[in-house]
Amino acid sequence: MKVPLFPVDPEAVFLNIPYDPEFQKLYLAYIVGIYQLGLEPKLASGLPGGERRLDRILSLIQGCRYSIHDLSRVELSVAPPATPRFNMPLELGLTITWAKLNPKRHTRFLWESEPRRLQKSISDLDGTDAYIHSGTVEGVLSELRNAFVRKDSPSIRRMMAAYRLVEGEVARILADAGTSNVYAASVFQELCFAALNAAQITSSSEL
Amino acid sequence: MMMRMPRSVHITTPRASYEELVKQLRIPKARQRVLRERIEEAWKRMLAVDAPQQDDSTQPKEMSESAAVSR
Repeated sequence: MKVPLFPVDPEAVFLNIPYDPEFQKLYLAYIVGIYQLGLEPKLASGLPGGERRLDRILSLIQGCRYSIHDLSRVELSVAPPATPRFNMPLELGLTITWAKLNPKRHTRFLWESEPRRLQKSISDLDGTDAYIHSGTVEGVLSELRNAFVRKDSPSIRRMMAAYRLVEGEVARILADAGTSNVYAASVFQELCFAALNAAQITSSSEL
Repeated sequence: MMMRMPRSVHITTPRASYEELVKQLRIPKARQRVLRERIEEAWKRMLAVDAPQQDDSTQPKEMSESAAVSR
């Protein structure tokens, strides 16, 4: 089967993360950190559901040069019936296949909160090392700097300052959008805009 | 067991311009202004809060108890 080649955005980073309230801080850290490293986060949350959703997710992955798969919260849902969360491993599987077929067009990164847990949860990935953020904002920012190395990377202090700026705006952005869902498409767009401005404004400081 | 470092990528391409990245977000201009002003105000507040601490850091500090003991 011949797969059509999509144009790849060299700055785009597909974020495969859990959309739950407990993950909010780390979600913000990813957005802020990715912009500070001169890249651009992409999220599937805004894509409509239905049978074509998976096609759209695949298209989104194909258009991104990089992807981050945070498997730190692949666990049983609290609400009954207890169900394992398969969306993230499913999207990781799609990405692995795509990257395998097109290694020059896509690079994927795995993220976890605990060392060696990945070897237990997805043993087929043994040999793939994950970035460990330890469930902290600083951990995410610091590991982003390690994954995406640039000569002009901002300091962690500057990254944390930008994070604090964006975090301070979340409540107002949510209120303006009339939602409590930080993963909603319009909220994501505005968080991205806030992160982009925070990156710009802090870049001129001596932090 | 020794932990290996995950692979990293070295990005050498120039950063995309601010305008280019903003364009991708498709946020109305008026809303952009509001959000930008809020971030700028928050930044000024943050600098104002941090300023006294930065001034403090230029002053000679008292030696901490543990440092004093170690001497």
